[in-house]
Parts: sequence; C-alpha cells; structure tokens
Amino acid sequence: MATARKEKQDQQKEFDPKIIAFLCNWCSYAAADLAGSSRLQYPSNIRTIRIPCTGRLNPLLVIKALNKGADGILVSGCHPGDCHYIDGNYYARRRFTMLKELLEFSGVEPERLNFTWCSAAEGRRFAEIVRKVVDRVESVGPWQGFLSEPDIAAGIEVGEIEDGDFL
Amino acid sequence: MPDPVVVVGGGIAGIQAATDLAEMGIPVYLVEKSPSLGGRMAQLDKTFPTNDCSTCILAPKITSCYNHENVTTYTMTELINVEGEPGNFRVRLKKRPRYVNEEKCTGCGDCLDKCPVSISDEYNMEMSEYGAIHKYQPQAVPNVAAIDPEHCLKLTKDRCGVCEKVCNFDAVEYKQKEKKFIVQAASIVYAAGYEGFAGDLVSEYGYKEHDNVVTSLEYERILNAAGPTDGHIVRPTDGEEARRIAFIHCSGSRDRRTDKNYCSSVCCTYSIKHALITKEHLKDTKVDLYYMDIRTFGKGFERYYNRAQETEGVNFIRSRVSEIEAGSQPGDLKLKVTDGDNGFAEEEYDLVVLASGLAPTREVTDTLQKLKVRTNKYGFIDIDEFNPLSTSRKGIFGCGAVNGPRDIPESVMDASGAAALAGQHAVLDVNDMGVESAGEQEYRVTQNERTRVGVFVCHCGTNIAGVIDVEEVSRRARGIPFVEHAEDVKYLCSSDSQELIGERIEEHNLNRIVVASCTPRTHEPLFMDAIAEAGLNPYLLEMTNIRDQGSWVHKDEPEKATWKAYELIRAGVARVKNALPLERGEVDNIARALIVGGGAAGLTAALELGRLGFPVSLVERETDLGGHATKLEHSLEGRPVKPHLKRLIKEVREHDLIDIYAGHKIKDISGFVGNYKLELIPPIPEEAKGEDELVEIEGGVVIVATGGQEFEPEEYSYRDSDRVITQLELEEGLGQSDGLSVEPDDLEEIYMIQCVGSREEDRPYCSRICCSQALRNAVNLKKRNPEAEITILYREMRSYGYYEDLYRQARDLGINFSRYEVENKPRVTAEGNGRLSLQYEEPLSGREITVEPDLLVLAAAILPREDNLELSQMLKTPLNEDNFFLEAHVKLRPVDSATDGIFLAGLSHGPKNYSESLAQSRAAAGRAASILAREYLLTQATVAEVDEELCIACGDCERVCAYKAIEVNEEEDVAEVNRVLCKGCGNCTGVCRPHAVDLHGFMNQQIIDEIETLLAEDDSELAKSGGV
Repeated sequence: MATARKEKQDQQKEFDPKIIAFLCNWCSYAAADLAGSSRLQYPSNIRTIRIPCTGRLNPLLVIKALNKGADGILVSGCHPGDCHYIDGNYYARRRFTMLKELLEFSGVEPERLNFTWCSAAEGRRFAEIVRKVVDRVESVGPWQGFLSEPDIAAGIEVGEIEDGDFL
Repeated sequence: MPDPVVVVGGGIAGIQAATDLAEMGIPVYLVEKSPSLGGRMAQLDKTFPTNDCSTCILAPKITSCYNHENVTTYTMTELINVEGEPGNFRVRLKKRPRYVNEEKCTGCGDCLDKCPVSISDEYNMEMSEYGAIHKYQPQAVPNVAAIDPEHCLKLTKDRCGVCEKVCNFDAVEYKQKEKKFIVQAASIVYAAGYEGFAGDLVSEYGYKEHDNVVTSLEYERILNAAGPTDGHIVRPTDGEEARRIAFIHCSGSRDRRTDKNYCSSVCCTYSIKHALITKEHLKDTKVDLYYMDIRTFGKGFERYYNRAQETEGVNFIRSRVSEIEAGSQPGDLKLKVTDGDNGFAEEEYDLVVLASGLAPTREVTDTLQKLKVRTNKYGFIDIDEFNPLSTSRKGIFGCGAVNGPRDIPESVMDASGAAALAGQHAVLDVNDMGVESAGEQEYRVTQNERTRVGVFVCHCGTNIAGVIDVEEVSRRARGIPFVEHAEDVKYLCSSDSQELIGERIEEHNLNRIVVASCTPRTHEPLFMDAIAEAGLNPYLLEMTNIRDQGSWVHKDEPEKATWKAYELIRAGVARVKNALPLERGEVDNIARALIVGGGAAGLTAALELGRLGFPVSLVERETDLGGHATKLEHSLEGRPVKPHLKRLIKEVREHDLIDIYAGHKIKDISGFVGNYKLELIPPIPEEAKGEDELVEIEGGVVIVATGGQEFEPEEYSYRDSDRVITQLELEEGLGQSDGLSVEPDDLEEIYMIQCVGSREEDRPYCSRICCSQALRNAVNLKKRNPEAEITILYREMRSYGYYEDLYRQARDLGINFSRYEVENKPRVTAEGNGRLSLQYEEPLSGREITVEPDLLVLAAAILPREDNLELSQMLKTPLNEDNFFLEAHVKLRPVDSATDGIFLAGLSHGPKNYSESLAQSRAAAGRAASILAREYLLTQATVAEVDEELCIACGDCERVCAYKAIEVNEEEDVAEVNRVLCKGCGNCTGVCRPHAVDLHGFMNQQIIDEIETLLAEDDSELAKSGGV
C-alpha cells in the first residue's frame, strides 16, 4: 500500500502538465508581459496563444486543445468593464460558463477549466494565476482524454442505442 | 507645406519632438552632435520602474524617427548660431567630417577589426576600446562608421589607409572637410541633454584616485550585456566579481559646498534600479545604498522602492558618506560614514558606485547664452513655471534635461509639449496635411509559392541568451518542417539586424517569417516594417515572445525555458504558414479635439491646439472653468496662480476655434481614433425642466483632463478640531483676509505632518507635491510671522529638483524638521479646551515629545477622482492600480493612453504640480496634433471576413458586434463586414456556428494548427498539416 502511494507520489512529481492559455492582447497578455518586466517567476507549464479578445475564442478551440492532450486550459481576459472591444469579455464569460458546464458533465474535472480576468497593470496577479492554475491541474493529474477505455471499463454507463433511435 | 523646425539633440527628447512634429506634417532638421542618434538613453542598460531593457524600447523609436519622410538627420553636426525672428530663423550649422560616406557605408563592419589603432570607447564611458574607425555604438543610427581624426594614422601621419582598402563600397573618404551651412526654420527645439557629473567634483569620494569608484553611467555600461564587461559585474582593477557594492546617493547633488544645491531627481530611483539588477545578476552580493532621503516621487516609483526594501540583501542606510579611502586589500575601498544615530562607522567594499547627478554641459550653457536664451544659476534653461517649455527667446523651446533634472517620461512629455509650441510657428495648413498613403507599396506575390519560413531568434544581449540557449533553439528550429532558414542574432531590433532579415529573405526566397524575441505588443510594427522593406507583405510575420514571457519569468529553469522557446517557435511556424497577405483601408479623421475637463490642464491643451489651428470642443462638468486650480493661491515658486489662471480662461473663451460646453456632463462616449463621439447632458435651464435633450459632439481625439481630488484625512483629529487643517486649506486661508480659523500672526507654534494618506499600505504611492507644498507654505508663514516656531514632521523630504532650494531656504529660516517612521506615527488628541496635544518621537534622542501646537497642518494625499472608473469604462481605457489613468508605456508614451487617440493630462494621470500639469497638457496637445493633422487614418488589416458559402444568415454575429461592423444582408441572405468599422476583435468569429466568419491574422485554422503543434510530442503533426 505504502509502495503504491509512493509510486503515485513519484508519478505526480514527474507530472509536468501542459496548459494552453488563451490570453487577450490588451489586458492579460499585457499583464503577462508586465510579469516579465517585473521579473516575477512562474512555472513554465503554460503555452500562450495570443488572441485579440477572449470574445474571439470559439468554444471548439478549447475542446480541440483538450482533445489534443492539454492537461488544463486558462482563458484570461480584461476585467468586466475594461474590455478593449467594449463587451467581448462578457460574451466570452457566457460562452465559457456554458462550455465548462458541458465539459464537466462529460467528465472533465473543473480544475482543468479556468477562466479569469487580469488587467495590464496586474503582472503580479498574472504570475499568481499561473501558479494557481498549475496547482489546480496538478491536483487532478494527467488528462486521460474524453471517455477513455479505463473509464468505460470502470463501469460508466453508456446507453444502448438501437437502430432507428436518435440521440 | 509648413515651414521646417530645427530640433537640436538626437536623444530621446529630440527624437520624440522630431517625430511629433514630423507626424504633424512639418519638415524637421534633426541635429545631433555625435555620430549616432540615441543620446544618454541608448547608454542605459535598463529603465525604472519596470526594468525594461532600454535599447529594446528606444531602438524602434530611433529607427522610425530616422526613417520618417519628414525628418532629415544631420549627425556630427552642431549649432553655431541663430539669426532672425520666429517664423524665419536662419540657423547656422557645422557638420564635422565623418570621413565615411553616409550614403555608401552599409555598416557591414569589415573595416572595424582591421584598424591598427585603439582608442577609448566614448559610448562605453571609456571603459573599453575601439578602433580609430568605429561605429559609435553597436546599434548606431545611421548604421555607419566614423573615423576619429585625432587618432587615425592616415589623417595624422598619412600612413596606413587600410580601412579604405578593405571597404567594398568605396565609402571611406579621407578628404572630407568640415561643412558649414544654413537652414531656414520657423522655430527651434533645443534638446541637448545633460552630462553626468559628481565624481570629479567631489574629491573626497576619490573618483579619480580609485579605479573601483565608478559613476552611475559607467555602472550602466558595466551592467549592460553589450558593455565593456559583457554584463558581468566585475571590478575595473582586477576583473574580480564584486561581492560588496556601495551606492552613494546625491554624489554631487544636494551639496552646499559645490554650486549644485539642487536635487537631480532621478538618482534615487535609478540607484534602486541598480540595486535590483545587481541582485538579479549576483544573488549573494551585498548591496548597500547610502542615502539622505529616498525620493521615489514619480508614478509607480514607491512600489519599486518597496520592492527593493523587500529584496533580501538590498540595504538602505540613511547616512552621509564623508570619505572613501583605500581598503585593507588591493582594490578594496573603505567608506567613512557619518551615521546620524551611531556617530561614525567604517565599511569596506569591492566597488563603489556614485549616483551622479544631472547637469548641463559647459558647452550647452555656452550655446544657450549665444542663442540669447536665459539660463538659471545652475546653467539649465531658465523656465517660467507658468509657461513651461518656452524660453526667454521667442521661437526657441527647450525639452528634456536642458530644462532641469528630468527622467525619461518627463523628457518625453517635454518633447511633445515643445513640439506643440514649435509647431505653432511652422504655420500648419489644416486643409492640406501630409497624408499617409495606403497600399501603395507592391509586395512580392507569394500565394502560389511553397511555404518557406525564416526563423530569427534574438539573444537580446543576455536578456534572453542569459537563460535560454538560443543557439540550441535556432539549431533545432532548422529541423522544423517548412523552415528554410534559422539563425540567432544578438539584437534583432537593431537596424543592421533589420537589414539582415531583408538579406535572408532574398537569399533564401523566404515567404513567412517567425521572430522569436520580445513582446509583439511593442515590437511587431518594427519587424513588420523590416519585412515590408524586403518586399514581403508585413502580415506574413509571426512573433513568439520568448523574453517577457520566457527568459524573464523562468530564469531559474533554463532548460525548461529553452524547450518552451523551441515549442513556441514551432507553434509560430504552424501559425504563420497559413498567414495571408493583408492590406489596410482608409478612414476619415475628424479634425477636432474633444477635451474632457476645464481645469488648468484641459484649458492649456485646448489653447495650444487652438493656436495650432485645430478646432476644439471643451467639456466641463461645472458651470465655471478652472477646476482644482481655483483653490491654489501660489505656485511652488511662490508666485500667485490666480492671475495666470484667469488669463488662461479668458484666452480660451475668446479663441475662435474653441467651443466650451460648461455645465455639461458626459452620458456616453463611443467611437475610436479619428471618430469619437461624446453624448453630453446639458445643464437644464429653469424653464425647460424635465426636458432631456442630449448634445452630441464629435472629434478625432479625446484628451482626458478631469483632475484629481484632495484626501480628506480621517486621522490626526482632522475632523475634531478647527486647529487641524490640510496644506491646501492653509494655502487658501493665507490668501484670504480671514481665511484661517486662527489669525496667522497670532500663531506661535505650528506643526506640519507629511505623508497623510500617502505611502500607506492601502495607498502605496507618493503624492509627489506635498513636501514642496509644505515647504512653500512654511516659508510663507515664517516670512509673515518670523516669531512663529514651525516644525515639519516628515518621513522623507522629497523636495526634488530646484525645490531643494526651498528646503535649504526653510532650514536657513529656522524651520525645524523631525523625521518619523511609518510604524511610529505622531499622535494627536483634540483637548476639550480647544487645544491640541501632539506627541511624537524625537529621532536622534528617541525621546517622546508632547507639544500643544496652535495649528497642525496635514499634507493630505492626492487622490484619483472617484468617477475615474466610470469614465475609464466609457473610454475603454484602463486605470492603474491606484485608479489614476494608465499610460500606454511608462517610459516612452507617458501622455498616450492604452487606447489610440486618447491622451492624458494633469492630475487624472497622477499627482503633479501646477507647472508639471501645464507641461503635460502641452504634451497632450502635441500628441493629439500628430493625429489631427492627418486627413485620414488607416484602418487595420486584421478584420473579419465572411465565407458566403458557409453563412446561414442567422445573425448571431450581428448581435454580438459592438461596432455594428457586421450585418446580415436580408436580400442576399448573408452577413457582410464593414471593414472600416471592424476593429478586429473576433467576437463574430467566436460566436459563428457554421464557422463562416473568420478573423484575419487570427484565423481558425491558424489557431488550430498552433494548438496541435503546441501539444504534439514531435514534428509529425506539423509535417502532415498542409502549408499554403
């Protein structure tokens, strides 16, 4: 038992999550730059994709990232009211809320899906966000993919679909 | 065509002034004494308070100024004299021979190693050597060599001549002669800069005897990766790593024994910068700062100071160093320190850095006298506080450190303000402006070519290369699918690297470029220009940020940072391979400025824009103009403010081009640069109550000048006693016959407490003006009533610049000063009998003192207005952490907001005094004019596009578009994009279910490829995906 636990610990130690971060150009990407010019250190697990506005983020891009093996997602935009494009971040929040619910329903741990705000003046906050997101993703371990075989083997019910039935 | 303006000095101030004038359509002659533009800022390693790499932020500015079609640069040129009148000056210039033809020299550097002579390198503060033929600095602009005639063997002894022989371009010309010539100019901007003094003036610091005593500018070069020690902090005598370093503040400044009594304003903060960067380089090195007062009064500086205090091993020691002697070991230095608390102390160091002040060179002062421009007792331009940037000679304007000690953003503000004033003499023709042309350049057709990506990896000196193995990264990048060429370069932003990129594009027939360096937010335009120069459509570029979001944030994980950089480059290749060539469109520009706020700042900006010939609409929420300034009695120099303000209001009211909307409140703001719209709620006249007719005004730019407010203290019994007032109330009271509750002449004992509400945990900024304001009020009181005993309780006396004279005057008048610590604040109780009881600790003796002052004056903080948040949301431009408006860049864009076409002036941007507000307002006018002068602006190229085949005309895109830029055409049953209105946010693309709308520059396929490549174990994903 102890050995098993240790093995698990070792695995977790080696687990170096890959996190895809979608950052809006005007606030959060600028905050990430500010974290840099302030030399605030944070884990190197995030891979940033710069987008003009979180409103640009089509939900399918998040699913694509998970499908390709991202262990976690960070979407960060401007604070409510600060959006460079007036209200793109509000639309993003709505879309992400729905998407998160859908994904959690289909078995993705909430820790993997992170949505937040960060202004161009908040370099420190950005570094903290990255640390926190990395911790959250580490706490749930590597992402195994949607309904992987072990899940099915573990007895997750998949309804039988007979000919002529539609979902 | 307007008449030209001459700008003297090619440092940051001159570059900014020249660029602003050129953008207004005015021809500029930019005159620089040295062989390269860049000035002092080009010598700095990093800049406070962000520790941004100085070269990185400056280089793009220099390049775009030098390349501007309206700017003619004369390097190695000096001003001899000026004749004539404003509007028609004849400026006599002298150009020294460079002995290298500027047109022919390509800056290839073939000659540089061949020169047999070695001379001191001026750019590196004479701590290294270069040849008699050399480039003044590695990133010289123009990128051309120059020969030092005093040391060149050919020119002195007619021997050698090797540089001429090795030059493949016939650029070496030993026969060049000095040229004198005259240019006509409407006005002159003088921006000749400063010299760093100190060491040679303060003999006891032994600058000349001890080689391990260096000045701050020398230390900048030592820290710099391109400097004499490659960025290693070593002692000049033996090259040993410095383990103990002392920084001595106020070296040469604030010194009664010399003629430099003023405070140089910048040294405290740059010494903190030195301390922090030293700790970054050498974690275990002891860093001691010897100071009198830490004067971190600028925007964001107090937080920087707090950060340094929290950094382990940075020690702040309040004491005056009296002497430096040789230490016990060779090269060591012994400091003798007068310690206020403990008498005398001695301490040994490896290296001593003198925080040397700013002074005009002798030459500059002489030139100013020749120009009949009045100088002050310190040799700087004598500036009228109510007319900053103007000089005593009409038509000549000063900016930057010739106006007095200035940091970079202040110099940049000065420059834009001076441009606004100088431009008025050039007579702008508002109906015939220099017009930017769109899409004229023909680019190479790349559509049908095989994808051939070029990857360029920047070292950024050691900024990147110090953490990331850039050579390994570029080596691996060569193996990425679609990559035709990859290389690493020391500084990609330098002009020769820009040319190199062009050469590689041609050599390898590249049609996509990935630049791995710093942030695209600052440098994308530069690299877009570089590839456009080479005939490639500028949108075929992708930047990956391996510095700000790489080496700088993962410095303890070099291997991971290196791998991450490689992965980002690979993803960049994936993204850029499907990039399409794009073009920009044109949009009309409304030649009118909208100014929000009718205080001194707004009024000044309005007046300068009116004088430049631009119509202005000025909105003020109150019925009366004047704002916060109506409460000021006297300036910090002691002159009455009211007559100046009154004249300003009168001139604005009488100006034909200025419409005033007093008593109007803003309901809404919409639009974007070139086309802003303000909806105003007019004052409701009595008879029309209930009617709510909105007024709409439109303009190309908005200037935010809404002011600030004074903190209402909750502490020190302010609310309980009439004897406790604020400095502003004291000032107001002194100006009125019975303005004070206590008759000033009856006051026997007066106390003042500084930093009330400032520099606190929940408000960690310095309010900048309170120290000088307290000194001014104390001096005025003391002069009026010499019997009064005045004591100022302070934390740090921040009388920066010439206000140090005021501090000195106050001490000479017998005003007492007593320091307190924030942990041990004075305590005040209002007694029942109307008296006050004040207790504080006397710092030298540690004794607790109780007094009963007749009056207690509090230096209350300057606060942002409470409605800043609401206004910032309407303007879509952010505030900083303290709720003041945030500038686009703390160093180089101090007047611009983060949103195009919105500019900031006065207290809305942060605490500043009356004169500084006026200067910044002039700067805002200058920046605004550079946009207003254009007949039309260019739209962006990265706009949305609809695929008609896929569109189902559901209207989702139309519903989410905030700009009404996409609409369903009911007849055609398809959504259509208006390219002029589209801002490229991509909200429509995010919401489109059939993926019919895509956003150029951020296309779905590009992002999908990027995601897949980032998550792939190897190159296989990328290799199997299609290129164009």
